[in-house]
Amino acid sequence: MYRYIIRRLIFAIPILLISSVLVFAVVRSTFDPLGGAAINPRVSKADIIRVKHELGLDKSPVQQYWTWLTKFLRGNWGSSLLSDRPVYPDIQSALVNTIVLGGIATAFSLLVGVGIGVYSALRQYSWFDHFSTSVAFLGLSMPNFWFALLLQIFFGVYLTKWLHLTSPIFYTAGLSQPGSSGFNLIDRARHLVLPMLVLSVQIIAVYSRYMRASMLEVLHSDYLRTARAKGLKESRVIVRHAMRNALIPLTTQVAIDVGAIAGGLIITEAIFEYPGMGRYFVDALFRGDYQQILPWMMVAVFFVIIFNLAADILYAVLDPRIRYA
Amino acid sequence: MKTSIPFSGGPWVLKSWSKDQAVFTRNDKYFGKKALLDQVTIVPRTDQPTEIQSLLSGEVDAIYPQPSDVSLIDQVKGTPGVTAKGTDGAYFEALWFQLESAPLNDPKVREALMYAIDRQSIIDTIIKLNNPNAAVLNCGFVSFPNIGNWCKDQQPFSQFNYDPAKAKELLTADGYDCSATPCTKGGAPLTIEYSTVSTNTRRTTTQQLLQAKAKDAGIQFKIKNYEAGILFGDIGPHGKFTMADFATGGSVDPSITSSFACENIPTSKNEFAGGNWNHWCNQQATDLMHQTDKELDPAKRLQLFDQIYQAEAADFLSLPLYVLPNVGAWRADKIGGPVDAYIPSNLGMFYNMNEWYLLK
Repeated sequence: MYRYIIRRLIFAIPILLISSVLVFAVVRSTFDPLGGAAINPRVSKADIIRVKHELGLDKSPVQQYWTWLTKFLRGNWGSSLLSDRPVYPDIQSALVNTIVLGGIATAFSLLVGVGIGVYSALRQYSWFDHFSTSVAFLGLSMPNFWFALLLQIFFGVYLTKWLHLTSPIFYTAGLSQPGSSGFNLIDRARHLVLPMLVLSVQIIAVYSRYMRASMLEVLHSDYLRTARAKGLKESRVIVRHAMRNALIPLTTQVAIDVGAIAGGLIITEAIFEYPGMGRYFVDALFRGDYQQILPWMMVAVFFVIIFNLAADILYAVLDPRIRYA
Repeated sequence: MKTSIPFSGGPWVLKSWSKDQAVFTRNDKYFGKKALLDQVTIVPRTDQPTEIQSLLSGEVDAIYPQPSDVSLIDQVKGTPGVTAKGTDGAYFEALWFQLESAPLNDPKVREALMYAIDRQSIIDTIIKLNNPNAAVLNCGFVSFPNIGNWCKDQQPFSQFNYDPAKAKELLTADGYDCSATPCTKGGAPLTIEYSTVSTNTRRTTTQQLLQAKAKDAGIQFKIKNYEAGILFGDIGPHGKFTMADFATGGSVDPSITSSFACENIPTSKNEFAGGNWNHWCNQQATDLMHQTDKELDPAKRLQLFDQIYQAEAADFLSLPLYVLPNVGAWRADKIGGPVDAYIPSNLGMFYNMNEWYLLK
């Protein structure tokens, strides 16, 4: 198993390098970080050439990439091309924010999705099963930007107006109240609820469908009949024997999903002005700031690789029949 | 941004800054009118519906958004205590032509195009939503009716009103067959590529409107839009467009040399850093531009500019559309003072925040 993990980690290195080369090539060939300055009549041609030289943008693309890579490998994540802000603290804070939002949404979705899936499977073709199936398809087909706007209007505007409040129960944007400093748990929670709900709707729908299908498969297996024949309590049969096995495919799916979270929850973060990895990426991309985009991409790809590996390992841990050489 | 050095912007001191908020406190050492508010926090809202919800829900007290294809004034109307105002701003919105790109490299086609664009319909359908007093912009590039005196004597583009019959006439005289739509020449349809920023709904709605109107003039528009970074970072500087809709800023005392002089056409020699994205080279106009940069007498400068503006219209350089409206909305139940005083100016709505105060 250890050799398998080490081998997978070594394979991750060329993947990271190839990804960074591709992203660099796309960003540098399509975006000019100083493009906006060119249409400003107050910026002279000489100034643009000077700034390009100062930022190293007049060097060949190979030289630009190599300079970035050698610094990155030495632990220097560099600074933004346009704002000169160090990249590392910004990515660190964006990553933490995204993991908090994505983590809470995933945990909440797991709790609700697994519950719905198990109950639907146990009461197959009941009114609850039909209802939850319909709601799951509604959740899957609903565009999250539209659902986000509905929540913003309902909680932010209408509920505030109807209840004659001075501020909304759940905030529609940002991470904390404007002007506040320091960490306030209640304030943070009021800002997290709406983006979390938007993310959860689709995840709950997916997980509940997964869980239902998986449970139905397990419920009809021979070993459950054996467990019942041995006189085990029904609750023990369901929880210990059925649910544990039914959770295996879902667990690997969750591990892969969590890995993808680091890549940013782009639409949700953009709508709720949530300062996470998704918004960081979009801001940097539209400015053509490859010094910000490349480290972001390294972190995102790294998380995907690690959590894909975790999914494989978890699969082997949960199902003793599977062994990696 | 370096935050170790205390930064003062007149009546305010920047207390703290992050990507999520900038906090300003009163500058007690300011020589002018001291701020009435203790502190003001500026927060980013990049998504416009979110920006408006933030105001309506009371999370923020004032917003100053980009005008879109929906009326901010109508959107806030239903919420008691919220007020909005829209006026002319300080950005010059135009349809910019790349004069070396076919078919706009043919002056006759450009002339016909000037009559195929229904500018008044844009004003009536889209711009008046946010600026009830909006009018078609006929000033020379880049001057404004309400900024300085640069557009007082003459309005060189006022001759170009929507006239599809005249556009067809001009095209027919140029060898086009306009018996069917679009007109054709040698069997090839008259198609003009029309680009703008894909995420800007005001501009994409304008496209749809103009596309339908231009058909009546025998001209077909092929829409090809880009993200702002690509349009302004690659397509524009490299001249890879034919006609594009975007805005450029103006100033009280203009100089247009960097935008329209022959030597400022972007080329590989100048690393595509020139601002003359139109690729317009009129040597006489360029000489006049150089003279304006040396002339200190405003009256003489105006005479020189008037000659340049005439040349712009005569060469069908591009077509001005409108002055981009400035719109602002605020919680009139929370803040008082001359909140709307600077909405029309290029200084922006928040310029006089030091004169605002809390009502309760």
